[in-house]
Order: sequence, then structure tokens, then C-alpha cells
Amino acid sequence: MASPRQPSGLTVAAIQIAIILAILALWQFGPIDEMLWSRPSLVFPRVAALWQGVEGLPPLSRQIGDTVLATFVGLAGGSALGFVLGVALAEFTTIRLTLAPFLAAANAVPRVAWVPTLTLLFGFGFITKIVMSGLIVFLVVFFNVLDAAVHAPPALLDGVRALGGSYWHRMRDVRIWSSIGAVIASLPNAIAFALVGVVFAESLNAESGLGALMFNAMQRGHPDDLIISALALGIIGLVLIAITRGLQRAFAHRLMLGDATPGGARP
Amino acid sequence: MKIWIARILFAAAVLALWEWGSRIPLLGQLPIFDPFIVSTPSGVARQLVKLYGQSRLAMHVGYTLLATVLGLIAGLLTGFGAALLLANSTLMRRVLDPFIGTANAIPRIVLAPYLLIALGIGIEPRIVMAASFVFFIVYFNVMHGISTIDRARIDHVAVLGGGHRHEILDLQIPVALAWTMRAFPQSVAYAFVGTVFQEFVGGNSGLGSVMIYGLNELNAATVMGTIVLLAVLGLVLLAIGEFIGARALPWRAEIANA
Repeated sequence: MASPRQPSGLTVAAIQIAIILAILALWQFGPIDEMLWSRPSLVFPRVAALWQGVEGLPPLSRQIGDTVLATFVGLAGGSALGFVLGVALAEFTTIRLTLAPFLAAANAVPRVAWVPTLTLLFGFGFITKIVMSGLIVFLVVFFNVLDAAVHAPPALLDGVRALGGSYWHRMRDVRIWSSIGAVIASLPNAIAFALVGVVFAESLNAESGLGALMFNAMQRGHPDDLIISALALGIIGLVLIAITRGLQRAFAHRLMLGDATPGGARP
Repeated sequence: MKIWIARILFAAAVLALWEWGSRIPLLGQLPIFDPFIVSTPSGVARQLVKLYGQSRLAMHVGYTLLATVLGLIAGLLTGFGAALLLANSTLMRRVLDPFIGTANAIPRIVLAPYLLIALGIGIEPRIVMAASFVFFIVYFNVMHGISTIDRARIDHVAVLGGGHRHEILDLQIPVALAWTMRAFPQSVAYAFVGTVFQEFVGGNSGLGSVMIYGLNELNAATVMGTIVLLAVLGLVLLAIGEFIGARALPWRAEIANA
């Protein structure tokens, strides 16, 4: 890190483009397993075919739409519930301390483990995707909000109490505002987890959605669907995170958010 | 003391509702109380004992743990090494940063079908999946740690006659180790998540595969029993992770501001 010479932007960009071209060339012409990875020349016609809807599959546009819609609905529902319960439990200490070990236990279960039970409860359709996505988002947002609301400025809380305010006023006037920053800070992670939740739910043979397309690709004898859906999910993931990062930056100065903690684990 | 009584009462209430909820008039008809879907505590206990008696449960728990630990180690080593390497090459770092950021933003689960096909249903794909989660956690933590080394310390090394080699050995590596330990609990948790997910997608052993087995047999007791075991295992791993993360390298607190 003590190197005084900085490589020029042009050099960096040239190497990056060379790497991308090399990967594309390897993908198209290299000695790779075509059954597994397909080729770019095969992928594009297949995307066009999927877009229209082939072999009884819904059109790709609908598959993408289903996945993205479920992601957003799960994000909204999970965030709202996580926010409300986080603020409430921050205020009601006895309930929070009582429930703490059970919440920790529920949080320790790898999220994918909830899929079979949720599928049995809600079927293979849209509801399961929303519930799964909402559940994951809830767990992320809830613990972040709880932490922020519990650590709301004590001086403000005492001030509300001194002015005769009740638990409701403490929540409404102090804890909620301490927590909004936590929700916005956890947004990129939450949306990434929401997408993952939807794909988890689709991994058990859903009717429609990119996750279903991906996990069923080999059984249907179309390995190119695997890479198409994987790429689509990757692009959607990137776009969603970029959007939420943009929102974060837009609100950061108003809410005085600090730097995000490093090592943002993505699912 | 009162809190513990409240917790025991709450647990008892939940267990009672789980066991006898289907007998409540009207409300008991809801699917959430249906023993076919969620089983009962007694059913789960019986099934776990039965699975343990068949010697399979201990083996599956062992495989999940083994894959988690090996994936954790692999992720720690590769993340640590990659961060150290890129921290010392401005060119490589600037070239590869967008690729690493992109790879991190893509849901890691899209790797699962490829790992399944390329590496099969044994322990190897689970190790790779677990390592893929841990790699990014460690990489970003170590990079952050090294990039925030106080400029004054780097100058001290130079003033004392140390070259770039000393900067790496005496500054970067201790800082990198400190930040790796800081990220240790989270790494343990995600190694576990990655392992179980890969077992779920396709595994011939491990708790994830037990759950799929239970689902295929429509045995809610196995499914719920696996959830309980995963919760216990998850809590134990997290506790171990936090214990090691806090105790290892006692001098790290000064370095990593942790």
C-alpha cells in the first residue's frame, strides 16, 4: 500500500476489458462442458425462445416479473413487520428478555430450512415465495431495528419520561427515529436476502420464477436454462443492490448514517 | 429469576399449543396446527430418538459439522490470502475490485446447481459453498483493516529502515489476523448456512439431506426435528465462534478497535 505509482485508469480499464473478453472467448470456444455451461451462441436464441414461452413454461418476462415482485412484496412486508416488532420489543423490556433466547434460536436456523414447512403450509405458489422472502427480511431488519431502538439516546428517553410521556411517546418520538437509520442501512442486505428467500422457495419445484427455472433446468434437459436463469438472477441482484445503495446515499446525510460495517455478507 | 420463569412459561405455552393446538375448536383447523404439517413435540422427540437409534443422526450431524469447519477454514485462508495479495498490488486491486464486488452481489445460491453437477452430492460441494460465503466476509474485513492502517505506523516502519517486506510482516499481517478474528463469528454462521443449503439442494448426508428425506417421505416429524437440531447446532456454533473470536489473539483489540 506504500507504492507511490498509481496505474492509469486506462491501463486498469484495458485489463478489465481483456479479462471479460477472455472469459467470453473461453465460454464460446473453450474446452468446457457444453452440457453444463452452454455457449453464448446457444444462449441468445434460447433467451429469445424463453421470452416467448416454450415447452409449457411461462414466458421469461413473467418468470422474472414473478421473482422480482415476490422479492419486493417480501421486502416490504418483512421490513414493516421487523420495524414494528423491533421498536415494540425495544420498549417492552420484560417481553424482550423473555423472548430473547427463542428469537436467537429461530435466527440460528439456516433460513432454507423453513422452506419445506412453509411449502406444506402455503403450497408451491406465490404466497410461499412472499412468506419465505418476508421471513428472511424480517429476521434481518428486526434485529437491526431492535439494536438501534434499544440503544436510542437515553437522554431523549429520559426527557420524554420527565415531560410525562408514556411508553407510546417514547416509541413514537424517540425509538422510531433512532431505528429508521438502521432500516435504511440494512436495505441492501435486506433486498439481497429477499431475493434469496424467493429463490429458496422456488428451489422446491415452484411453478414459475427464475429459481424454479434454474433448479429444474437439468431435469428438463435444457442446461442453457441454468446459465440463463443464473445470469438473470445475478443481474437482478446487482440492480437491486445498486438501487438500494443509491437510496441509502440519498438518505445518508439526512439521517447521519456512518460508514457501513465492512464485510457485508451477501447470501 | 423472574425472566427465567417467564421464559419457561412461554416455552411451555408454545409446546402445549404445538402438541394440542389442533384440538382447539375452530382455530385448531388452521394448517399451522395440523400435525401432518408441523408434527407435535412428542412426535418429533420420538422420531429423533428413532433416527439416532438407527445411527444415522449422529453421522449426519457429523457430516454437516465437518463440511462447515472445512469450508470455514478454506474460506478463511483464501479470503485472508486474497486480501493480503490485493492490498499489496494497486494494479491487481483496481482491476479485480469490480469483479469481486460483482461476485459478492450475485446471490451465492446460483452456484448451487453447478456445484451439484460438477462436484456431486458428497462433502466437496458443501465445503466449496461454505467457503464461498466465508471468503467474501473475510476478504472485505481484511481489506478494510489493511486500508485503514494509520499512515503514521507505515512511516514508522520506513523510518526504522524497514522495507515493504517489513510493512507486510509487522503491520499488515497482524492487522489482517485481527480483522479476520473480528469476522470469525459471522464466518462460522455463514459457513453453516452454506453447508446446509448445499445439502438441501443435493446431498447424500448431512442435516439438510435429512430434511429433504423427511419431506420426500412426507414425515413432518423428521422435518421439524431437523429444524430443532439445526437451531441447536446453529446456536452452539455461534457460541463457539464468538468465544474463539473474542479470545483468540488477545492483542487484537488494540489493533482492530474491536
